[in-house]
Amino acid sequence: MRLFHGGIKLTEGNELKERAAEEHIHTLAASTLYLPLFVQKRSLCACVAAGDRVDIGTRVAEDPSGFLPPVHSGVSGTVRAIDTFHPCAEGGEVPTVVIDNDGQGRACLLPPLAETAAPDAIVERMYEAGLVGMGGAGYPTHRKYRDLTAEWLLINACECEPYLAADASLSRHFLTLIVEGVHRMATAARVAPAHIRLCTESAQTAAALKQSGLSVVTLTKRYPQGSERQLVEAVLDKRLPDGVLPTQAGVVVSNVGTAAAMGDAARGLALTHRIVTVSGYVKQPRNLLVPIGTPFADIAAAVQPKTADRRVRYIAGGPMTGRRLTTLKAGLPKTCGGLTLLPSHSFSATPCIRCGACVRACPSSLLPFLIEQAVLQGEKERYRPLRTTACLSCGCCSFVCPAKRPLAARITAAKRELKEGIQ
Amino acid sequence: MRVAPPHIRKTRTTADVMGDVCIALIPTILAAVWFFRIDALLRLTLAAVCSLVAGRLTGKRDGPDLAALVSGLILCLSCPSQTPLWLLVGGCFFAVCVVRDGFGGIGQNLFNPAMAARGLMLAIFPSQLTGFGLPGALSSATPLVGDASLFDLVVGRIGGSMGETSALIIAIGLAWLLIRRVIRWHIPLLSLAGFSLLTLLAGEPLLPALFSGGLLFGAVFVFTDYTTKPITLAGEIAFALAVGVLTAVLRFYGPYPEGVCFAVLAMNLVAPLFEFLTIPKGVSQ
Ligand code: SF4
Ligand code: SF4
Repeated sequence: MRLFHGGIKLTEGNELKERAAEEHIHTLAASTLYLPLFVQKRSLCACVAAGDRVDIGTRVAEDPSGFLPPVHSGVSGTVRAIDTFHPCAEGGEVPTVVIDNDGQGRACLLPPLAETAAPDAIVERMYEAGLVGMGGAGYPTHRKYRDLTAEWLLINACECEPYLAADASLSRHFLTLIVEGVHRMATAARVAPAHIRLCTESAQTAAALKQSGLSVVTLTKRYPQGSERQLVEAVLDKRLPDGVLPTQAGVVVSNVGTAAAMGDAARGLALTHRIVTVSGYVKQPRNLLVPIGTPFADIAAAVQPKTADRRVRYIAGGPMTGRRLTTLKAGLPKTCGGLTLLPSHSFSATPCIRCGACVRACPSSLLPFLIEQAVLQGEKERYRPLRTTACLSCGCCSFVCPAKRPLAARITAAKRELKEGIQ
Repeated sequence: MRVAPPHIRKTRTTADVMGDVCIALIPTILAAVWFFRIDALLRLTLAAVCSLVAGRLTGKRDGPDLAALVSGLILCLSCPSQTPLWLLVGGCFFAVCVVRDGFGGIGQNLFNPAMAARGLMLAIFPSQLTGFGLPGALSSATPLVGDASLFDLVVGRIGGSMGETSALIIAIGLAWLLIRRVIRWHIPLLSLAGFSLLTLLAGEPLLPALFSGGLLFGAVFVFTDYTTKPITLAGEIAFALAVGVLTAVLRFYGPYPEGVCFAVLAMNLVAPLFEFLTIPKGVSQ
């Protein structure tokens, strides 16, 4: 079995993951969508005005800098408002486009992409259709594929987190779409079909993917296998130096969800819906097809918590890297593949005993306990020699720490500080 | 910070880890009581109580300080069965309150608490720790075993300190620590390798030397102390080899018949350097 360096074995949520993967995909209809005009720390401008009629696929907002692709409406209906402040999944309250669903399901399509479309046309379509990485990081797909000549294309169907099963259910139910998307992506990145690999940790997903005729790599179940760098390491046996992106090393990695969205985009559909796994402390986990912008409250209403305990926590995403939601009013972002319910729990930190568990778990070969120490002692000049920017924020170190120290959170904050210092 | 990811954690806590070390010490404790009867029982109980009280005074306040208990038990097991009670009490408090908590507390101290206390006791009161003329006690000349047979050394015998009665019994503790993943195999194995290498070079008989004089006890319970060894794998390997070699050097050429205690203390001083030199650099470009 192929493996990457470090990481942790997670058993939590595996059974739920398998149950969710077997489920049919349920479609969720939202009565109102909330699309924030502030995404990944960038301000967008609205392309619609209050009172406008919109269809599924109508462009609602765009990034004036062209970094992020546009945002499209996932329902047909009327724009209620474009600048009311509304809670946002990334935190805080930001101006938000609010769209009321009229339930008619009118759609406006882009012209289908020609079979023989050239790389540039495909990249252009990635932008028009609003594609971002669906695995969690949300890097704009058109930026990744622009002027790219890669050797390998790895399609990541590893699920980035415990509990989540979006990749598995996509692979089972939308295989033709995925295959179409994969071929377009290979063309855009000028990768030979023989150098495409579909990668997954699950035997069932691998079986589903094999029907595509593309070559499938089955990896060992280990977290964070869904992380790009770890995928490159496990599949191609190549460890990337700090700061070197996979694309700079000739490998382009895209999530299977992004491939499916690319398949849709080639047929003229913008990215307006995504699969969300609702799991954790619930009676029955479910995979839902949800319009982007649907409030989390509607998604949560689709499942029943295990008990009526109100102290359950709602996590946007998975338990390892997801963000705790303080309100369920926020709309679903493009990058969020899960809503995880966890019983309320707090961890109180005790002094580090230098057991070394964090060091062994770190997939980037960092010394998490030392970086945390530097943070606590305010010794910022030690951040760089300790390679803080190589942190993936995967959370492995905090997970294993017997002293329950918030290592990942502090290291992530230090990393952000360094990166903001550069800009 | 409380809301920051990850939102799930492994269940194992510091107390679980220390509890595992205590469990690993149980076979050695039982063997000590079997061989030394009431002498060992009395001293081990006293050391346990004193170290827990000491831990409560300067260390962990909520719940029993199992890390202090580990230090107290290791200190007691590394002393002979006739150690004066007052000396043992003093040693336990010194180990926990001064060596550990006086130097920054758990995870921060420079020296292994049990061995620093043991070293000080030996330096100030050498006759109380060595002068009982027991067969094979620390006072006897090299090899430490006197005329004990190899069979006795492996399976069990009276002599030396309370924790070095039987190699087999210590191996059970080692197995528990490895199974529970409290420690890795590198330090016990490589420290013995370093020791063997020097023993052979010095032309001493290897097996009696390996199985006597607290070396095995040290390799399993003392060299592996989290706080006073390097945390990186490369650092651990270098540390283990060096401490093994140094133990042999001190045993064969040093002023005391035993080497573990001062070898560890000396290596504790350089462990931070070993750690610093072996910080992973990441993949080179
Ligand atoms: S896992 Fe926790 S206790 Fe162990 S070395 Fe890292 S920070 Fe310290
Ligand atoms: S969060 Fe950062 S420091 Fe912690 S294990 Fe992951 S990469 Fe290493």
